[in-house]
Amino acid sequence: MIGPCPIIFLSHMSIGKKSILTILITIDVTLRYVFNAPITGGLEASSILLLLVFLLGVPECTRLDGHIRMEMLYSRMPSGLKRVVTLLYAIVGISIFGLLAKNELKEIKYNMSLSRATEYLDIPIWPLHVLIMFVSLCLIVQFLLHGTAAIRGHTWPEENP
Amino acid sequence: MDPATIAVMTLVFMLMLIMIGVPIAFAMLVSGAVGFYVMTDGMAHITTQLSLTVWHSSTNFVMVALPLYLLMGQLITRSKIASDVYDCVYKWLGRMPGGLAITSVVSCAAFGAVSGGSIPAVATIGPMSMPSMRKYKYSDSLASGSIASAGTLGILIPPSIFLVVYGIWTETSIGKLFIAGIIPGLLMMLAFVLVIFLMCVVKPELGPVGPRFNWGERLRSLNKLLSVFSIFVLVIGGIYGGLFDPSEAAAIGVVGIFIVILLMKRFDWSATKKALLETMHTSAMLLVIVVGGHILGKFMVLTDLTVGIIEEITGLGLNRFVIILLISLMYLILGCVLDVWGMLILTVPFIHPLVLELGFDSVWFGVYVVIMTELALITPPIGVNVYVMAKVVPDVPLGKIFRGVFPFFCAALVVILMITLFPSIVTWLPTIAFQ
Repeated sequence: MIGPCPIIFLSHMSIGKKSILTILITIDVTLRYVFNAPITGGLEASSILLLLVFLLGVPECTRLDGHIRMEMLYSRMPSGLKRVVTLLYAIVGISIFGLLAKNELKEIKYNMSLSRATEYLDIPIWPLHVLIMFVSLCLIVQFLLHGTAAIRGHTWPEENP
Repeated sequence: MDPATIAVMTLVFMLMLIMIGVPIAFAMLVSGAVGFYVMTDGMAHITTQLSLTVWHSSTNFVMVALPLYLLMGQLITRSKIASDVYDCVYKWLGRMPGGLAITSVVSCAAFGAVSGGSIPAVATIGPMSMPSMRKYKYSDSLASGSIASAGTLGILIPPSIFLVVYGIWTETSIGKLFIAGIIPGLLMMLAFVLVIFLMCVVKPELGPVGPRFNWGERLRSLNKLLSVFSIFVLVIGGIYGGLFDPSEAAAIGVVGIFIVILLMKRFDWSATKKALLETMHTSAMLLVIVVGGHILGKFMVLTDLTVGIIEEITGLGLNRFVIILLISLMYLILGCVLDVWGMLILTVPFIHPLVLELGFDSVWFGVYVVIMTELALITPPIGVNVYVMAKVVPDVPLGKIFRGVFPFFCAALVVILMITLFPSIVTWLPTIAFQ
């Protein structure tokens, strides 16, 4: 299991960004309707904050086994079979986030070479792809540890709330 | 291998993964990825698609609605506003036959009007209303069944998270969906109220009348509705009046709730932190579902399977209402094995294009599918709301709660029949609002 500390840190970053996002949109709407003067690049900033809100929460959601599944058979499975499903889930997770991380590396190089930035706020794009790659790598490590734990006979997640 | 065969094999593979308990979003993602690999004979296409879908889904401004409506619901749940609503409705309706159960239904509807969830409504209103219903010797079955059923109103009455996700997937206006949910939501509430009233008129011992309150107490209690009423008017009125779009309305709603909480001196940092964390978990879970749905949807477009299914079904020459009846039966059966999200995820990509081909409106179908999936919350063996209710009243057997839910299940079917035969019940209000 990837240590909860870095993941919890990411999740706290996520909730911080959510608060900023709420305030930003409210101010933008208020300025637009009351003073007819929206924040320049407000929509762009909201989109970037949204990316952070969503992505930073995925590792914590995965750690807490928060992804919905069909429980009907799973909940009645003996622990041996549950471990097989966990292993399969881990393989699926590693494959998906492995592919994502691989492509993000390409995106980082591409965006850096062209010095691409957002239209209004001129924020470089490549650090956002670094973030997606980082989150993907965190998830890969998480799934690797879950898979290993399943092979070694542990059920997952041990700290399932 | 022809594309249709690849598509069918991919879907079978996905269903197998889901059945054995691999999380639904991951089953969709990996099935879509494998399907893309086979169809395009390489990894480049799927890696690009995956990356693009994650990027577009996470930066799409419409998606702002998801975390912020979730946060609204969490804040409402933790701010004791629900108990204010219950107290007010109790004073007005408690004296009717079955009045306490009716109070629970109306309170769940009011709670849904600002929270957008179903389970929180049951978990919040249940512990509030059960003690008084027990005090007045209400039938356990009616008491628990009415609350478990009324919880479902929250996902139909706007703002509804399910309508947001449906809107994102099918590119249907979320504003129109929200406005469209109002009349069917109220109809459903009235149907539930009528069920309780009739049951208690026929058998008064099921739900004896509650205490009497004088007009002064009743009028004073209206103060307590002010917070919920103002937030609902702010959010839905803002959308209806074209002041802001549903995503912006979500942010305005969150700020509105914060202001209400501060004015009522109910701000609690630890509860707020819990609300933010819970919202983050659910938002992240929904992001993966949305990405999985998009990947699978793109794969389906590549294989033309959906077009094939539509041609096959429309080629049968069946009346469109017969097809809707068959779809309804399918949803009732699926409701026994899948939860709300599972049903939405697995059916909307296929059924939505078919329903549009049959001449139904996308907004109408959104409301219809949400009502159909609501039923999954109260039908055995999954019926999540019933299990939540069982936790509230551990001494009432599950079977008794499921029996208590049955009359409300039938009432919901009547509402579905009404909106199918008269689709304008759903489409009239959004048509006026977005002229």
